[in-house]
Amino acid sequence: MTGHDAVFLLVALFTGGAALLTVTSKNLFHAALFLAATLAGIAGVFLVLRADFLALVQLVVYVGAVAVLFLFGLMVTRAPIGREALDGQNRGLALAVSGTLFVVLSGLIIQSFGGVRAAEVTGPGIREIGIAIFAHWVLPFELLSMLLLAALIGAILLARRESGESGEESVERRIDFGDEPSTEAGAQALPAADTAGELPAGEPVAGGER
Amino acid sequence: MSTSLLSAVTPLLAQIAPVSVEWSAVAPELLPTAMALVLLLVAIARGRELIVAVPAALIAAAVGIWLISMAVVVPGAVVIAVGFALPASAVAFPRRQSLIRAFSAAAALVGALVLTGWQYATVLAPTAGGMTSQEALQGALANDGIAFFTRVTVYLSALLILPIGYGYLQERRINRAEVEPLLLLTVVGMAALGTANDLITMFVALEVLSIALYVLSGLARRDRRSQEASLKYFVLGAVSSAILLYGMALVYVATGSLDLAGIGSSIGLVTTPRVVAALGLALVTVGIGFKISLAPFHFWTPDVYQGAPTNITAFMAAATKAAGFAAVLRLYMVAFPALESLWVPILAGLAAITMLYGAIVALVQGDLKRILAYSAITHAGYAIIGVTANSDAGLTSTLWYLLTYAIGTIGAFGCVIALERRRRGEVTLKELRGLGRTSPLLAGILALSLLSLAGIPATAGFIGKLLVFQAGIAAGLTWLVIIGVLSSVIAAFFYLRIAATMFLEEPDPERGLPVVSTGLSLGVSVAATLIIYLGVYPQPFLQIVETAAALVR
Amino acid sequence: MLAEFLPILLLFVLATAFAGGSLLVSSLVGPRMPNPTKLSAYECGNEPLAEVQSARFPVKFYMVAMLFLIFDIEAVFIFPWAVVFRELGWFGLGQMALFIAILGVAFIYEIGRGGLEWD
Repeated sequence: MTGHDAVFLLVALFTGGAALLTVTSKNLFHAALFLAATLAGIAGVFLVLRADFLALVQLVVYVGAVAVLFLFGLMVTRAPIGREALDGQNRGLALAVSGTLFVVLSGLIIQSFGGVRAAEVTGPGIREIGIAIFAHWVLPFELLSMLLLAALIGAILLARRESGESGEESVERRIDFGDEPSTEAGAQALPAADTAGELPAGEPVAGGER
Repeated sequence: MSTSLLSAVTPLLAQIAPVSVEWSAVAPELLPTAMALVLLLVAIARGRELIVAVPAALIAAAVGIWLISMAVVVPGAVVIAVGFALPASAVAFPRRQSLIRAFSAAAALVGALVLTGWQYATVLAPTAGGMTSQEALQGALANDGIAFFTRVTVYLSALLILPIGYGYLQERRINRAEVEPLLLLTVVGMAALGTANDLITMFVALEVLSIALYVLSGLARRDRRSQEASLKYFVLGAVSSAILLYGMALVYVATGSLDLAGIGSSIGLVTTPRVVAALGLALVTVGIGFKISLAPFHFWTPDVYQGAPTNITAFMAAATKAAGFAAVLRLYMVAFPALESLWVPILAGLAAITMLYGAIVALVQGDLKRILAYSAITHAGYAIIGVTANSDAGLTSTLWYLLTYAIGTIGAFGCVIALERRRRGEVTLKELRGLGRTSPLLAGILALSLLSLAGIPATAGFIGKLLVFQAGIAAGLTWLVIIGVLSSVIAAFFYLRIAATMFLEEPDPERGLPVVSTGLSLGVSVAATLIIYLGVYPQPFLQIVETAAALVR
Repeated sequence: MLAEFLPILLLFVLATAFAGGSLLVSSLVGPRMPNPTKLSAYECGNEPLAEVQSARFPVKFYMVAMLFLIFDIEAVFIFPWAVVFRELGWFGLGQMALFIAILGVAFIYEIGRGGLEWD
């Protein structure tokens, strides 16, 4: 057991412990914080594998943005942050399934690769990652910009206020075709630029057929 | 001074030229991307015309010059002209904005189809022989028969639902400016999925189209069903994407390669741990099976199809399946042929379950959108027969089946839109009573689309089913084809029940006439014409299809 | 190279030990005489107001976090590009220009839709 292995053992225990606490914690907020700790532990695993850039990316993106998004989402949706247990009665089944998965996967990987010990662990540094992205993976890189664009459009579209969505919603049996006049309150700098002056809604452009 | 300028520019040109040639493989996707960006800018144009016009013009000029540099001069010039005209007209006619947006999106899709044809003529089939394949961008892109047919299906589907959904979206007040850009982004993602040749590109393209579809299906903000559909699609889609990614990671662990051809060649080696690769294959099947609504990963389909705005549902039913099947075909025929003793029986079993389950459960549905959703599930099963055949005939028959199915589904959903607008509610079988008397043309088109979906002769769907069943029998999967025929018979029952309700029952006088806008009649008429044309005179297209089996390996 | 991160680990351990140790020692050694004034919430000397339960947590915080995430990922991609910038030549510049241009359109769209307005 080298020093490297000892450090990995520490990081793995930390990550595994935080993950366990995430799924068993009774307070949802604590669970989210333990998730952040788990993600930080994964960053530690990346460091052990000598992928320093990936560790920093993990910290910046996952812990810095995704975990924060989690917490804000909990607060916005007023998730039950109480003391009662949050999950159903499926704990036994969940434990069985995840335990089986863990045993199968780790057994498979150890059986396939366990005999080989790497002489030296060299993770991809920032230089290798840069060359790999811009010399080999050009198309996925450009597609990613479109992915981020779609996500941005979705975020802005779906987070805007519509009429009748002040938090209390009436239960309607029929599909609501939005016949009420639309009063858009909210953080929109434009007047409804896309609905002004359109063909009046509700009038068929061509009458029905005979 | 001029010589120094020349000497500075020449190495630049020398670096750009091969890039141009390489990137010509994505030329059809350039147009929808550029138009999506321009439409987004136009969406915020009120009061900010200059800020919008300058980037829009730059984008149009860049794309036009790029196209010209690829020696596609006329479309390039057209693109520049349209690109300048569009923001100008959007600024000059602010009252007609949504019409201008719809027309520009349609123009971009037409341009994409033209470029796909140009690619076919110059790269894929320059001689009278079969279709060749082209590999580009260090193997990340595969331009071959699968890519061609996926592009055609996806662009045609999007082009058809633009006029069909125009009046519908206006009436439901979903005439947000972002509908067309999101639609074009989805199309780009689907086309990219059709050409993706390695795991990462496949995954990113899948995510692009998925996220845009999650947003599109939730656009009817005041309708709870639409919100529910979007949320369900999103949550289940995210889980299945995670499973897919895990499967891809396992495949990478086993084979050490992310390139599909590389995976294919390294699975056969002795040094590759086969069990890990098989487990990865299983997880990938689960992940991609979600996207194509294969049972037992189909549970999202009825609710999402029912809740989403109907033209988006039509688009999802037609184009997502085509793109998903492109990924399926490439994965199983290029990357995993060495494991075919594993995946052929599994896929065949899943196909059997899918076909029977979809057909049987559709019998007890009341809502027309749910019936069509279950029929979509069933059709995924039929298409998988072509995949399990694991042959050239199987590949080409699946591609053709997806195209004919797309046209039929869009025709059917288009008619559902007209009925939905009449009473602004659900479309059940009661709504269809006597439609043959009150609106014979609409009823006729709906019946024609359903007949095509059922696979009745003289429609396009019949040819597709025939080819798929032929490929299945030729590959020795006769039991699967028998189940397919049985499922078709069951499905024909509820298709014909709809037709009978329309033509044989008395119309209810209180219900008004279906609302058919100009766009809708245009769209469904084109769909119906294609159904009849491809059903009666498919020979020239079948010749193209039969040569589409050359894959990038 | 890994040894360069050892000071960070040391700092983490020290910070945790200090914070944890302070809490532990104060809970063990400190006197415990609670009274209502000491236990109430601290509001700079004012009377603690009742918690306004019906007001919804403003969604604009979530929007800020969401938009931050998207542009954070963009920034993360610029880092490796900057490291190998010279070796990539004009081609690399063009790729990154395209990436930033598409996200620039996203940015302009976001500004136009009022995503950066706080109210």
